[in-house]
Amino acid sequence: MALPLFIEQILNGLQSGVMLFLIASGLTLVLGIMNFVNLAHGSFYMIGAFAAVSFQLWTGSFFVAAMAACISAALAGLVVEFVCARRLYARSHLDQVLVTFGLIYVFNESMRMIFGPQPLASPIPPFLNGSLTLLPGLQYPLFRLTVIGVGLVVAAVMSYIVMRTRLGMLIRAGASDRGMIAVLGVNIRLLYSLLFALGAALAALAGLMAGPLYSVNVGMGENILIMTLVVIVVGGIGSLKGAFYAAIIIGLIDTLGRLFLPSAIATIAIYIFMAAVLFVRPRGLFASSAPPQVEARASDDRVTILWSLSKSRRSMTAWFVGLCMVALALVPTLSAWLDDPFLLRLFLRVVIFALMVLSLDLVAGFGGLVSFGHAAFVGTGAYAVAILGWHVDHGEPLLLGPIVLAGTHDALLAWPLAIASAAAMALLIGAVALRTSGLYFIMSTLAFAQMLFYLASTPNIYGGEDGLQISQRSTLPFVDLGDRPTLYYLALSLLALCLFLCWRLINSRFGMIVQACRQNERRVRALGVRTYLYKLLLFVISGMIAGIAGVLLANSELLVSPADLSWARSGSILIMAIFGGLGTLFGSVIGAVTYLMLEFTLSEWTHHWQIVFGPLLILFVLLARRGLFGLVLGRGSGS
Amino acid sequence: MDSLLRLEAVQASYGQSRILFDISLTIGTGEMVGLLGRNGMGKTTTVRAITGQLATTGGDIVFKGRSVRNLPSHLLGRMGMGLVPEGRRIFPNLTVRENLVAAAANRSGRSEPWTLDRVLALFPRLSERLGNWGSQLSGGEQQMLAVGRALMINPDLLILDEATEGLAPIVRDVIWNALRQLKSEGLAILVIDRNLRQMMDVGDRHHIIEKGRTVWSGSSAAFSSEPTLKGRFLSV
Repeated sequence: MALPLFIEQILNGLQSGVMLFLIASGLTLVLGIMNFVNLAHGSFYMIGAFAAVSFQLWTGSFFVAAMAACISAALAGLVVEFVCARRLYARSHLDQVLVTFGLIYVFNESMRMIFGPQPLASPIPPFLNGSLTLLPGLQYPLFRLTVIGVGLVVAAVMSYIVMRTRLGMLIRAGASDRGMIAVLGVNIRLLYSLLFALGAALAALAGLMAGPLYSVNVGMGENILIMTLVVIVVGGIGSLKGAFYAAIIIGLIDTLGRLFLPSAIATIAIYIFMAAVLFVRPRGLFASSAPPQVEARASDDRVTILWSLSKSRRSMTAWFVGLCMVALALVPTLSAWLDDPFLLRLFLRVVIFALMVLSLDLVAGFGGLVSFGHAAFVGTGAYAVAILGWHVDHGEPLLLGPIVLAGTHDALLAWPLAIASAAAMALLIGAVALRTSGLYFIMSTLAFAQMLFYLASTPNIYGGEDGLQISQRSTLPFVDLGDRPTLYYLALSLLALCLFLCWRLINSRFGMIVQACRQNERRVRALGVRTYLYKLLLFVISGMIAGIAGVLLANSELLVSPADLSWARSGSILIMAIFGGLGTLFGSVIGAVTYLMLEFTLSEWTHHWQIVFGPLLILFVLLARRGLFGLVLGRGSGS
Repeated sequence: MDSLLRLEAVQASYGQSRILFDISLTIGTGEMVGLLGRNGMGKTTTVRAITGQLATTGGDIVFKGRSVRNLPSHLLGRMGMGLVPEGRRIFPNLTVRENLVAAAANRSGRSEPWTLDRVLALFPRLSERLGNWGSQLSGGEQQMLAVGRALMINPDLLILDEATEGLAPIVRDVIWNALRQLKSEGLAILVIDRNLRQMMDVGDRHHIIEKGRTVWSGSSAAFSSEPTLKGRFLSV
């Protein structure tokens, strides 16, 4: 390759790297110091971009627009800190993830309501238009050079503040021991609010510079957020230096990868890099030597333990569960009687999602492993069914290394294969992700799921972004799955079976060890238990159940698409789990029913249903901490 | 007596379990008061309640004539409470110098405030380690740093939770000598330590805590004149 082109790509990589740094710097400080997961950080980036565009159109001045963008994002940051974050510092990461997930709904939907669904174009300010000749044959846009310059200056200033000033000392001290810094007379809350606002302003700075380079649209925050999370995990949570180097490395890998690697690999190159880093250094490249304050905060405040119930409660619970299952079994009859096929369709979805939630409850509720990428296993199961079907339809054999498969629609062959692939995926992802814990675990599961998402989204024979149609439902001897009620009964039976098996599992010795790990892994390890293997096995079992859900999903929708692997899907599974009550098993059914009914009702009512759903979610997390099934179980349960 | 800090029947709990039932104690200006008791009797919890790290559920805490019960800890720090916590809690990712100056303040406008130089004069050992990370210090150095760090906010009351726990005898003497000097300069000190001889030697008065209650209060002389106290409340 010609040298000028290569240098140009390096510069492009640098430019995307410094933008990542601008977003990551604020987020990593918030994470490291306040131990607060803010998924809505990408929204500040989006707000910055939108504010810059609109103020530029209004005033015509780029500088005014830039100022306005940073100020409005900082204000949004302050509001978020004041209204939500402040109530959540002492709560589990799961609560924080969910509330900020709700905030994303709110921010995205309000931007959509104000600016419409169309992407906005943001002009390059005239004085930054044009290119600079850096070398003979190498012209480089002035605007991108400016971006690089601004990014480097901000990095230098931040590094100076953090390493050389007293404010920086307090910030670093706060990262290692918040309580102690308060005892010394420092108003830690004020420091938090300041940091939050600063982080938001920096994200907005990146957003306003992104405007002219990419497009300004709703959802831009989420794409960049995932990249940012990768940067933070690679760099080490709370490390500004780590964020800087990781951002540059990730920017370069991403840009140069597109040039040198096959496209399928290029889109996931950064995730492969992250996996490699986590495998060698589970706490990132530049993790501080400080004892990790960023440990998983026990999510025990949410978890309901079934056997701590009184006898009468237990029999009441059994009745309740039984009644619910009977009611579910009557759905096809009711649907036929009311002549409302939609009811059956909705509840088939409910049952399938209940399986997904159950699989998540197993790891998150009982194992304390908050997986934010559970859609990956569902999607793997679903794609396996679809791909096997595609190969038989197109008469092309499926080559898996030395193994040649003809493809099949036969459930007895396709389903075990699909479930096995989901299990294998869980084994792979779990093997790396379980080397980490707490926040790193949440983020690495998210990133791995995202890796599969991009893999499925790149143009490939399996439909890429459009997804893959499935020509027919799987075939079973004696049973016609083409008949929806039959499929429903099969799904419901599988759900009942999985519920029963999970219940047996968590009451077994294996289940007790896993739950003991959630409460105090170090102590379990000291008892001579190889906790890693237990957690990995739990993760794989959970992946298998998710795989079953995926198989059913593919059969019910007859279409699989990258959306089935998306982080929005993983998030909604997590929300359902919380709605139902974590660590309750049967809460998964309640959660799925509630969520899907709510989604259905709200979307019937208004097009902008997310603006209602977001606050509802936030309120629910803040107020009803033990979930709906937790209410059924009553006050006597729990730790 | 006009006391600097007064606890009146303070109660506190960790979640469901009540730890402090009835803690009453006083510290006068310039006084050194010892807090005695076996493990798990509530000494550290009392300190946590005083410094605002644990919410109290009853009683009252009066500092400098003002009720400070359940005030956030940073306000207590600003009012002049300096804490040397159990486990020292040095900031490992800050250098020794940074640990000392990060939160330094002279809010009461003292004419001869504690400065870096004064702290280094008190603990010369630290001046050799100024550029080292907090994580690189020995236990004794960490304790000196913790005391210095608390002094740098120019407190009116210094609270030491386990002043010399786990330290070599020679380092213990360094700490106790420093405490002696601080007391002679008029600083009020509340100290928890197992070293009874030093406690009785330097301390003015003492409170014994048993199962979350103050069960005995009196001067060093009174403690020494009641030989059964040690057996009843302190020996293991």
